[in-house]
Amino acid sequence: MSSWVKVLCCGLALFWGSCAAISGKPSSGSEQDIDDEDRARMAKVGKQVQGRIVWSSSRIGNHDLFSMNTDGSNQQRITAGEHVDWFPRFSPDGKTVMFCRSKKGWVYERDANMNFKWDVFSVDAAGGNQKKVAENACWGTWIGEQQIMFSRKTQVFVKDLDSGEETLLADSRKVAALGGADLQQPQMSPDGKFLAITLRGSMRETGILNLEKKSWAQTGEGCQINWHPAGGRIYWVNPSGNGGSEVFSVEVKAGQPVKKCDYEEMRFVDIPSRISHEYFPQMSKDAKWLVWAATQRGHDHDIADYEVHIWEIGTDPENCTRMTFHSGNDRWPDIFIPGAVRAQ
Amino acid sequence: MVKLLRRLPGVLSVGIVLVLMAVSLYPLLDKEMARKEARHRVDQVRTRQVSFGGRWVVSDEWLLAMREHGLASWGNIGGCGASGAATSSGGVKWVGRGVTGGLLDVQCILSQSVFPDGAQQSTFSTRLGTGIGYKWLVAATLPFRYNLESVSVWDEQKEAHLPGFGDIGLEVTRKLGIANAHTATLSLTFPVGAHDAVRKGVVLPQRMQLGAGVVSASGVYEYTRDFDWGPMILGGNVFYSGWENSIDEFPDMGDFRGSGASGYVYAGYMLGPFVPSLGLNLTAKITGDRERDLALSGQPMVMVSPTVALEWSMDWLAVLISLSTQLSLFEGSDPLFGGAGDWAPVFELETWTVGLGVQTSIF
Repeated sequence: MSSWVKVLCCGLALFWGSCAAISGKPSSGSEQDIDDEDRARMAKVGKQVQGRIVWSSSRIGNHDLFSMNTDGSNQQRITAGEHVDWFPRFSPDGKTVMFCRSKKGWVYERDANMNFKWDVFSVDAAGGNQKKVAENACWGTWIGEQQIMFSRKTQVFVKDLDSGEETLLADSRKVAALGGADLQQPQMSPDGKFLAITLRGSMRETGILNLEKKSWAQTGEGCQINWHPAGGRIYWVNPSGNGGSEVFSVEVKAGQPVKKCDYEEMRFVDIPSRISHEYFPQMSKDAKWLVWAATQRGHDHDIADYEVHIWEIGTDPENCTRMTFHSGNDRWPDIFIPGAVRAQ
Repeated sequence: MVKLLRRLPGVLSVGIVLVLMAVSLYPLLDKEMARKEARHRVDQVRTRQVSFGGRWVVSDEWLLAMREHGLASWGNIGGCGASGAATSSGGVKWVGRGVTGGLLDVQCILSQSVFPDGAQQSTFSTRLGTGIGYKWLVAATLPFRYNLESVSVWDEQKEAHLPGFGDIGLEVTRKLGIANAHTATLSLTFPVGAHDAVRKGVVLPQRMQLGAGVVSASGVYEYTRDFDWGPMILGGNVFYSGWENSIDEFPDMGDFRGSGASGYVYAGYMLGPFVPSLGLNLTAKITGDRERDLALSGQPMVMVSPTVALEWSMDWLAVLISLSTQLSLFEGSDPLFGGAGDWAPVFELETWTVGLGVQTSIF
């Protein structure tokens, strides 16, 4: 082999190694000032609803979980460490938070469905009592007081926390329409008949899987599809609108979007401000509030300067309230409202 | 063995070009496979004949179309994957994240092209762009150029230096598809730069000139497929270089730049804040260049340009370095305007180009 080829190969190897060595994890960032208007908005929300918001933030090193009241007060850090903790979800009684944790140090959210990178943990909502509830798993959600659901790459499992028994619910390799795609953020419909799923890997779309018929209804090309708590609608993030993303919602019947609607009708929320790159939408159980995070610049879910927002559904989106003020990455909020009754 | 080793650089070059050409065919193959897969799914799951989105026809074709969209363009949205601006200038193309969020996108690219005969062209191009609504983008590009070439002036070789502004470009882009994965761009270039500079009464060759002297136009279509590992951009460009320009000293013998079309593919790989990328551009000219109304023999008519680049970005700043070369695959003269039409296959180096780009989104 001629010397210049060796030099070229060595140079490429060195370059690749150098790039890979730079982890790209987000900076811790810094606190930002909260102006009087934002304080007033948070106080107003706090008067309307007394709940708790949990989210994942990079403000102290790798992502940890934080929680706060719905008026922004009483912020607490409920997990700590070098692992990446994200996708927190309140248990039905609000006492426990389930979340994804990287097995080792910094891992990109892009690798959410990679094997042997994540486990699902739970922690008391006030912090403490951390337990691993699913090994080699991600996207953990509650489907009952003691039942959880999570993904392992192309598979979705249900686990009974009392017995520890895991049951395979869906496998994209065994459903022709899913083509072996990675199953991200599976969300079970309230009646337990359907899964709303974001497909990644070999396919990239959102849709609804009929668990009985194993049929697939594509609903869009975005991501982070989820169910309205009453089950009659879905909502998801579509790469369009102000800031390059917005939240769409359509009516669903028997696992199929049924209503003809145009672009404008599908729009559920798209903040008409500069911070309008919306992701991570999550409704409260009573379907009266929506929390999400949005950024003005960048896109990467776990790096860009996303800020948590809350909005009273049905009101003017311009009146949504920003809840975090930090240049670190704030993502995947969830909201728990004590005493709230599931929307019907 | 020794002979083989001596030929190794050439063999490697051909190999690299073949690999890049194979890569360029992948999106077409992928698209066809996706189409077949979607058809298979539609056949299997009839329940998917749903009414959704009043704008679209509710049919299998609509479902196929939805599948074909893939995911959002990294160049136009922040869809699940990236953001950025898939724009190009002077053989330098942004593929990765870029920056978003400001009222005005500013992109500066410094490129230096070196020709085998020693001629050099340096360009500092500034592009200002902004979005109008959700679907339209407009941009203006102002290049400052510095050309250096050894020219023959009264039978004497002189090194000519020519700095100045080049032609101003204006472009309008329309994003297409529900996920903005497709874009169509129309750009016009207006003759601001000098096209008839002289040295000691001799008009410099048109390669030395800063501008074209006439309005030119191009239409670009791009499709961006967003993979988990990074974006792949497939595009095509049709360019019309305008009619013959007018030179004062030779009122009936202007210069003419050929028109043609190109197709390209670029693929980037997400590696932390870095996005290394590879690209391949294939250009064919329909008409050849003419100088002082004379067809140039042996000019490149079909060219291939492999590019390797590295981008780094943060929320408000993106930097790019790139290296590309242009290789001539066919040479000939102008077949439509008196040339011999004698295209012949060759494999010759035309230019090397090094680019450095900076992008920010301000306000």
